[in-house]
Amino acid sequence: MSDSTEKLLPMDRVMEIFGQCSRELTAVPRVEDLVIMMRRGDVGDDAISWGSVAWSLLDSSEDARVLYLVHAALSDDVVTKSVAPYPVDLAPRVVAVVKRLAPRMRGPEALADRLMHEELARQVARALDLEIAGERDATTRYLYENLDSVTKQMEQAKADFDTALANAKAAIDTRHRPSRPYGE
Amino acid sequence: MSETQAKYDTPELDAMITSLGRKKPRTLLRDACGALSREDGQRLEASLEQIGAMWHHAKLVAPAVRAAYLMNKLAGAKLQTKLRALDADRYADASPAARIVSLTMTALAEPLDLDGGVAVPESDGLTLTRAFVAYFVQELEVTIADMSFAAAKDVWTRAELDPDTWQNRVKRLADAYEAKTYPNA
Repeated sequence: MSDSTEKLLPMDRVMEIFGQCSRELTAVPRVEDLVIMMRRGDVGDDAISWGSVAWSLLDSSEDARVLYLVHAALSDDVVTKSVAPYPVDLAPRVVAVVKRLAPRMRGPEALADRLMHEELARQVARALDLEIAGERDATTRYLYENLDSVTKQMEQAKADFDTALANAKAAIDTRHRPSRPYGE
Repeated sequence: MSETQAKYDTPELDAMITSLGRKKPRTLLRDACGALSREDGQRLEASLEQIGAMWHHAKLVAPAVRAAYLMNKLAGAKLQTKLRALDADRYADASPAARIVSLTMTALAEPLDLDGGVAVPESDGLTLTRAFVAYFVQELEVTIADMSFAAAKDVWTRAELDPDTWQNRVKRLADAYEAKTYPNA
């Protein structure tokens, strides 16, 4: 984690952009808007071509709003200076995060939710293999591992399942236990 | 997996999946995209593994890539038509690698049973790959080989990767446990 070549995502700046864009974004962004945004972030033609594939896989055109927030942040001068150049598969990596979080960010209030902004920023950082500036490594790791509420729900569902199955098997074992002679 | 007879079998597709063997994602990406260098293939595979690990889906990466590879191989033209609909004039055809990686990453981002979890305890690559093909068929509305839309729905439900398909799983597995542990009861 203390690698001198690590790239640091300036969280304050990203949160500022998320806040500003979520307030100002009224219409659903068009593909052209996303392309312009990526070009501003000094992303090459190949990566934009990858974007055309990845964006088409979003569940809802509404989710392009969340996509726009992310690309607005990643194309910002301050952010670009810290974390560029971006990989050719930038767009699918971002879309994977957006696909996961966007269903919880539909509607103006959810889109402007600062906690969701923070979760979005952290997950984007993780997807792009970035560290977060101004944060202790241990904190970042802890938050990464405990961040996604959908994953937490899945873990809980799996734990509940394991318990229910163990109980069901125990009940079967009890039912098949040989009867004891002296009634003990 | 369900002990009952599958409503829809997909022998043709299963043969194709099996023929891929245990090729690594980087190999499949280079098979599909000749222009891809070895280094780029490795980088993309690392990218996919990273996204898989983010959502506790590390074991699902290889089957998801195999399914995406087959989707691209068998329905690449149809896929490209769908992708072009996004903005017909602006883009050249997307590379096969772009299609495979994008498909895989979006599938891995779904809230699926963690790492195949209890649904597929034996790392059944064929079942998982078939399930991901079923996922893509439903998501993209593009059929391949002998997997119809009805078969895709059936296969996806039986794979139980999606929590919405977990109904009766405890009872079924408990019944199977009873039948195996107490065969003479």
